[in-house]
Amino acid sequence: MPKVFNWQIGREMEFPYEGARPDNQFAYIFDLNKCIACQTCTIACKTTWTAGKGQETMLWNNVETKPYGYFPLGWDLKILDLLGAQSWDGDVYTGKTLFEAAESDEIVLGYLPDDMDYANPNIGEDDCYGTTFKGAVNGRSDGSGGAYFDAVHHSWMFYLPRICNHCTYPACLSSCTRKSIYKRKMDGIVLIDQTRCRGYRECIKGCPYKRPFYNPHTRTSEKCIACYPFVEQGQQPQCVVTCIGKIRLSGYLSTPEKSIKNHPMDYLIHEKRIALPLYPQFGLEPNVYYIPPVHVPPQFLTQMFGPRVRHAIETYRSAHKDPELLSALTLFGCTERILKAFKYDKSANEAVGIDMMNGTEVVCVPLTEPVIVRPLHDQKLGAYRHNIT
Amino acid sequence: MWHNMYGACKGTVDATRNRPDGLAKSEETGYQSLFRSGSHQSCTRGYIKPTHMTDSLVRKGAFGQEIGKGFAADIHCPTGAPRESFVRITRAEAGGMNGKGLWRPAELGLRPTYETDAMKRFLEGKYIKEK
Repeated sequence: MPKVFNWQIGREMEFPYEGARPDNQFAYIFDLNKCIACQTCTIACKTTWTAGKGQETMLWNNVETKPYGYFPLGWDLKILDLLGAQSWDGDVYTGKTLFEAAESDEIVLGYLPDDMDYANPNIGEDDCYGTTFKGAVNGRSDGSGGAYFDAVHHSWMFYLPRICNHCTYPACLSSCTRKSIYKRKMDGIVLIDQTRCRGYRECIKGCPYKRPFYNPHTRTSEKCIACYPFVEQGQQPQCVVTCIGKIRLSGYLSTPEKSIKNHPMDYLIHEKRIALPLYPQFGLEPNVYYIPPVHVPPQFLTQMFGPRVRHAIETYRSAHKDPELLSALTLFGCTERILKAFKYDKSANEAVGIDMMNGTEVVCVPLTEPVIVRPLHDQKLGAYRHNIT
Repeated sequence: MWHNMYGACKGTVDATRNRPDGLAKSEETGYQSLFRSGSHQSCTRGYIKPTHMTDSLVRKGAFGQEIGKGFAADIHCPTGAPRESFVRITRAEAGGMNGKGLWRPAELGLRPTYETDAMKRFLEGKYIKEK
């Protein structure tokens, strides 16, 4: 197999094709500290792309509760267990990727989910880990202690919104025997050619994130298309612009050595290293990046986002002291346009975003929301106000 | 839950009682509800306050000592979410297909208190080691 460089695992790895990065790579950042699992993204995607016959069980975008939520059922546990325990040495992954761990007659280590695994899309919603182990605190682990509160929350959960990662080294593309899947040169978006696909489901078996879905009506597989008709016009995808929590930002991402400091994606991913890939150990170089939730045990987060988790959490916690970082974070969900640059306007205390296509200033957002107090009695209307702030 | 909040109606409630298979599917319209009765927040009763008899019954105002009768916003309008409720939960049947055995996700060890050893390793983040 040819060797390609995967910067997320800090080393070269095996991949069935020669490394050929696209001219530009479209990417996303999701801030997990802000997601409330309202599923507005899920519904926006569903109504835009997958409302048709045969698409009933498809969710190109879904939001699952971690650790007990998964769609399809148990997807990450299953592939982690197949791969077995692996290791990192600093920023370098010393374990095996899914390409390197594949059996000799396979391209990538994977499995095909059971049809029933798609039956419970919102399973485990809001379920916490740590609530059922009574007496685990203060050294008493036999359950005799009972549950009590000792000022530290031992139970945790968080919401994980998921879409196709439009990987740099896609496992779906590698495992398709008909070469129906391609990665666009212009923006790195991964698409399934519906005229070539014969529905063998090798892509579903190969993708560890289980993002391609089989359509029994068309007998082809379908997946998130990154809303490419929007992206081609300089506009962010539906799931990004409809997010009411403003947890999402999308745009083009450089490789680390070509990082542009005032580009919001490069700044957050390469400069500040605050947004991390999902399961980088799989070796696909996924392009959806997550700001990890600060309240979750680091060991679980390291398993999910790699060894940079502690640094990312530390940086996020101190963001209030860094107006430039705060500016980049404030621009999430504030414009439909894809940005190519941002800046912190110190005099106005505002975050400013620059449009990718025409270079004009498209949005400015105050870092501190202004407080306006109106008089209790409005003389002009002759009326009293219930709410004056 | 909010993906498929198909609440019960008279037709579906009747169907659960009258159909041999107990399916909550209205005979007249074919509408099928997710619930045998009620809807998502059914265990907290309605969000809108009941107005039984208060059109003519004498009642006190929400603030102060005024006694009156008829419409009053704090009595008849939804002014807040229900604060508390009493719920009685009874077992309908076993969770598995055709009412036999465990629900599949529990059987597979993916639900709280049913965890397999692999699931326990996952919860503790033991699929990754740092040197």
